[in-house]
Amino acid sequence: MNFYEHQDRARKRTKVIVFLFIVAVFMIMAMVVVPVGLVSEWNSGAVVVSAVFCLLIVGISTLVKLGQLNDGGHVVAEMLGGTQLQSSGNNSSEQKVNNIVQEMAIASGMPVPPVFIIEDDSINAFAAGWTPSDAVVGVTRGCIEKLSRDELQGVIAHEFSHISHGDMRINIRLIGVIFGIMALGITGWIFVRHIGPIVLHSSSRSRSKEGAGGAGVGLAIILFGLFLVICGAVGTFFGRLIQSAVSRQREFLADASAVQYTRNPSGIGSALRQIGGIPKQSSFAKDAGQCNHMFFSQAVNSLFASHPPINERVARVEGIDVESLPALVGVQKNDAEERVSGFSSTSVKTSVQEASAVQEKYITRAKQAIKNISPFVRDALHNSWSARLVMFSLLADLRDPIQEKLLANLLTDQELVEVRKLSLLVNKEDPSSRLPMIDLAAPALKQLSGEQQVAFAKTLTAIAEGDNIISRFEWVLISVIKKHLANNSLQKIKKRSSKKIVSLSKEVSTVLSTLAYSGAKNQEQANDAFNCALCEIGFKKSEMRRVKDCTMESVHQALDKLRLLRFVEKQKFLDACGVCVEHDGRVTVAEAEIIRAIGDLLDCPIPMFG
Amino acid sequence: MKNLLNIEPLLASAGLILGVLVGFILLLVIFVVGIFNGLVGLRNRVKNAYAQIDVQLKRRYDLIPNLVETAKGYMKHESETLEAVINARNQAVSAASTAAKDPTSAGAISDLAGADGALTGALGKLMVVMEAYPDLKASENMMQVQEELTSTENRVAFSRQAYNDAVMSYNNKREMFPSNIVAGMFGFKYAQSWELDDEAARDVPKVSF
Repeated sequence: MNFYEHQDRARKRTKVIVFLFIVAVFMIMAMVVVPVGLVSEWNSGAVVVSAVFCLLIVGISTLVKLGQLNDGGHVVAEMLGGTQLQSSGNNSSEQKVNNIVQEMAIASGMPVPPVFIIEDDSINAFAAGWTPSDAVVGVTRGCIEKLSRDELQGVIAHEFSHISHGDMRINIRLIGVIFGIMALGITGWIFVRHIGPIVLHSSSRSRSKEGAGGAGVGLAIILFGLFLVICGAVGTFFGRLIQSAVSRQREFLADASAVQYTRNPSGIGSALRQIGGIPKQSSFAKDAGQCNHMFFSQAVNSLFASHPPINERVARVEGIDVESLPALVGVQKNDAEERVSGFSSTSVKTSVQEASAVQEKYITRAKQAIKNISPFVRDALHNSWSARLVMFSLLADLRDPIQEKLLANLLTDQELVEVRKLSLLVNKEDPSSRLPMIDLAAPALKQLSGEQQVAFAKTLTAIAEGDNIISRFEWVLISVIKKHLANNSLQKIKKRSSKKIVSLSKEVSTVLSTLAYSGAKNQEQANDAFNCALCEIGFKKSEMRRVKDCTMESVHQALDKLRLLRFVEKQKFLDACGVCVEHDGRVTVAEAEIIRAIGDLLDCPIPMFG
Repeated sequence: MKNLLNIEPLLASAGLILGVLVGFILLLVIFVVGIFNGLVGLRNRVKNAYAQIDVQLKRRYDLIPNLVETAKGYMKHESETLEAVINARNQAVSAASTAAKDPTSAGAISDLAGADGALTGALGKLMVVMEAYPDLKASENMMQVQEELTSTENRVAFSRQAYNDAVMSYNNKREMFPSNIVAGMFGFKYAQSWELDDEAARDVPKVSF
């Protein structure tokens, strides 16, 4: 993963979301002030009073909440039931944790925080504290016992990012403001339930002149209260929404930074995978879920009682089981939980996890494929003179006398000898390493001069056409090599890839028809494969080309146009190609090669697949 | 009288322009101060990160004799490897003290880099040798020794990495618009990242049994 890029993206998105949050807070205030203005016909007194009233309630309750949450990381960790780890650990695994924390402090350039251990079997970790100097890191016992050193290092690095980027501070501030908005709703509820009825009641008892006016005031208070309740509820809802969006971005940032600090994506990757493999309802995670919702559920749940779906939506947005919403636990614990940037429980992390897992798998495969190539050929591939010859020997079949004669005409004696030698080694190769061989040759081939490249391409085509049939592999080889060479030359045209797949339906159907024919035994099978592939893209109907129209040349031209597709659309198209090829239930090496070649030609390289 | 009266709106607009100008300059000053402080912060991070490398190297030198002492009891057959580690350590320490006396001498610094590379190689060899003793690896003491070795090496590597990361963000800030203008005004210098000058140190230590 390119962690700098991921970090930049996460930071930018955080900024945008926080800006949205600020806008939202002002919108909520406007929601209160504007109707008051409308009702009072823009009486400046009423408008100012309502605006000041809103600001005071939101501001004061925000400050009160922030004051409550202002303890250092120590207090929070102890609330969560953590015990501090001694600087020299009791046993080797605790010493390991200490060491890793110190290593990560060095890697992130931060002071070494105290470490807390929570006796829980689930894999989790957290960072707490207002500033780096009072921050603490906590890990569960399960985290220490179940994770390897590299994995633990990734987890701790993730927590260090929360400390270093001040994520707890952002979170607490958002919580404070959300509480402020919620206080608006609570004030409204007090108006509705208490102040309004009292005024109504007293006015109905005293049957004096002012009675009627009093009832009006009472009703107005109740209505205003109701209005505040709505504003508070809507505001809290959106506030929570935005808060969790911010939190997700910070998790992205932390994962990217964990890779920066450790320079080892597989560490944090496999830690996340381990967490994914364990049932999510561990006791620690469940408590955390309930806690996250503590004061939200207390006040808003009763307000939302008639609208359970919205409640459920909030739960989904925050990635917490809806069952855990109504349950109330101790306020203390809740408070602590709110100030913590936990390691797990956000689903978005899986993307990183997959990315790193995938990487490793493909790297192993690529290594295997390269290993399968004999050392002599491998050396030859690094030199531009001999790399050419390897490509020739891949194409030509020297046992065929016609081809041999052709080669003798095209090449010098010395080259012919070399090709003979190489073709013995190359032909024995496992077919799955043919495409990797082309990839390996690319850098060497690019070093050929412009003229040499043209001559090379000509010879290549001549050999391929020598037997008057261009096989699938020959086509793949020639197109991929030409692509590699074209990238080098100056005629490369940089157009914006912005086409939609719908606008290129003719080209799509050309490529898919060819793929369908090449894998199918009869017309019927080909039709089926073609239609399945169309479904994958989402095309309703498109005409299948006839067999004679599916020439290599037409496919080439079609792919040239398809290169201008948007990236997402290219993926869709490649998926469809995959469906088309897999239709008969098996993927031959040749088919896999074609798909990879198509990906290559579309500037969208596909990693090696099985 | 009339002329004097006509000046008044002029004066008012001049005041307005002046106000806007002062406001603009004030904003600019705040902006420049912000960038300046950011640059200073980053430069100090670079300095601190550089000092960290030294601290970690020193820590490694101090730790190694203890580690080897612990390992000795378990690895009698590997006395050569252990000896090599101790020798490399002693050489690195003496090279470090020579370099500390005269930090400007290029020879001393490259000696230090060489000795340091040799020590890394010897430690790497020790780690690999340990891998070959499964029952040793299982013993609690040995596990601690190994953990300490791993951690020590990690710390040295991470401190260099952190230094380079700090250098990169400082240089980025220094060269990017608009902070490059401020950096130029106050003479913020380019920071050099940590690279191995010594080809030998680049090599992966070879282990033979």
